[in-house]
Amino acid sequence: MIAFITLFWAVLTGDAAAAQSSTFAPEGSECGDPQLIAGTAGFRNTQEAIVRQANTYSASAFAARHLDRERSGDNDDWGGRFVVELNTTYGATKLPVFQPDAVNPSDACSAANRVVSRGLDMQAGNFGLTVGKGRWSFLLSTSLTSAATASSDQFSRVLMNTVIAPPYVVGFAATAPLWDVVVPGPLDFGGVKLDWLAGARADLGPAQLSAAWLGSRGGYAQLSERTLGAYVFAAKSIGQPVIWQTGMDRLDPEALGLDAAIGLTSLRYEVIPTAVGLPSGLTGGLSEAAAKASRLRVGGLSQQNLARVLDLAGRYRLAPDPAISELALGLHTPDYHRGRSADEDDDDEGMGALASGGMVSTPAAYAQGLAPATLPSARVELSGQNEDYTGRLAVIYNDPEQLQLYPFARGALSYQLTVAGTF
Amino acid sequence: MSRAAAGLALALTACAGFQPVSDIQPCLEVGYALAAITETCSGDRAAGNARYQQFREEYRCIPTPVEPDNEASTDGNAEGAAGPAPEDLYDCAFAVEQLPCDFVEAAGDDLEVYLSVSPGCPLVAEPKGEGAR
Repeated sequence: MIAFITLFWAVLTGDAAAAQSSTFAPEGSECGDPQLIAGTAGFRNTQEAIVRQANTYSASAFAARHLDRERSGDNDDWGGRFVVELNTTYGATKLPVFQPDAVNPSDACSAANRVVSRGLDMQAGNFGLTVGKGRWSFLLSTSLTSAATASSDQFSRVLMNTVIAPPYVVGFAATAPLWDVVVPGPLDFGGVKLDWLAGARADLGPAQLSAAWLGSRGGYAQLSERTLGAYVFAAKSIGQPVIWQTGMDRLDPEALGLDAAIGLTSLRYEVIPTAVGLPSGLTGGLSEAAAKASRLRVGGLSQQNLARVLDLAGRYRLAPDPAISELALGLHTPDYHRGRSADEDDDDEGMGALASGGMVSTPAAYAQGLAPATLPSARVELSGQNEDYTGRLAVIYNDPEQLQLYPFARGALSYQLTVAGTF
Repeated sequence: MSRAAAGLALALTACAGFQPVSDIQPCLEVGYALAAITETCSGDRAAGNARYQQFREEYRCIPTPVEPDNEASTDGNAEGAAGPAPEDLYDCAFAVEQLPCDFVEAAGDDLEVYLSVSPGCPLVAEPKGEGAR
């Protein structure tokens, strides 16, 4: 297992040292083997970026969002659903690095580049599967997170993040239960982390109940109601605080006898620990009080498919630093969003597109090198579907979801590819 | 072809993966480290933010441009060199971040105590009452 992880890690980080000879790097910037500088906000952010994404939140939230709120089938035959998602973020944070090659400067690596600021690129892969018959289904959700300092060579950077790394990320994510859980990477370069959950879902008629075991040694449960889409889920791993979320997912007005033009209404309240599991010794370890103070509490409301083409979204941060954290307006092709029961009674085929923009605010967090800021955000999505499969590609600038978890990911550009299917 | 590919690559990545650091980055990192250690020990983000603000109000950042001549190390042989190596200017931030919580509790709001933990601190920040920079 270590050999596989090492190989994966070598692929992820190898570009920094091996792919530097290129016309796509600025002159004198082809310095290999950058060393992170401990004690800087960027160093702390790098550690947190890995831990936050890879903790219990990732696999459990993915299951809750993509697998566990869709209506399960009532048929007597075996069937199921799978979802694969790949997220790539360019510039998840910026960090000062020391480049030893610049100590003995050359045309390729100038002395002025001895200490520079480099970006951190992140990849996250998720895989979800439900298989069942009648009232019972098996549930599997996995996640893999990795990060590496960005290559100074933009071509290598794009090649790495779009061609070379994705098969590894998705492949390891899909097989996460076969590997050891939460494998830390070298701390001077980022890391690779895995988590997964496996369990069962029972159809109780008006509601469905799921319970699962977390690979990081914990539990996950979700109860979701069918008509309104009301749900509550919670997850907890050993040594980590409880993550929980409640709300209403895509309430269909027609279920209440109202006009479909009202669109799909979603409400959400969530509590996410944002500083769990930081390696002790990096910041002296987190105190219990610090862990409690680091819990993010957020409420959100979104209205999708308003008049079939309009989306509105708002989010309010209750703690820390109460403030409106997101406002967004989107336009899309008619009925771009699908209801919870879409998989069982909708055989639409074709393409759709969405464009939205808005603002996102992040509070002061000087420990992370951040002054308070209000940032523009934008999202463009393309999707396609046939009777059995759906695919979606989203390009997001200043992703509000991501900035909620990583406030240091300012100015980051993310790509998200999701493929789902039923069988 | 290569220009088009480079343009596409830049558009896809939106920002360069490689940028120069600010002349006062080592100093700013000291402030961030003060905020981090305060927040870690108190569990209070507002207290951490306030400690950073206090640092910026009471201390002036000394610009430390990265120059080819600054190649000596603060812990190595500096003979004939123009100054400390750029990477060594972050030693103050590292030392502050590693302070134990009982030290932080005892030091309270006295920033001079925090900045006495590394010989690198006077190289990147000085009290506003001193000097004429």
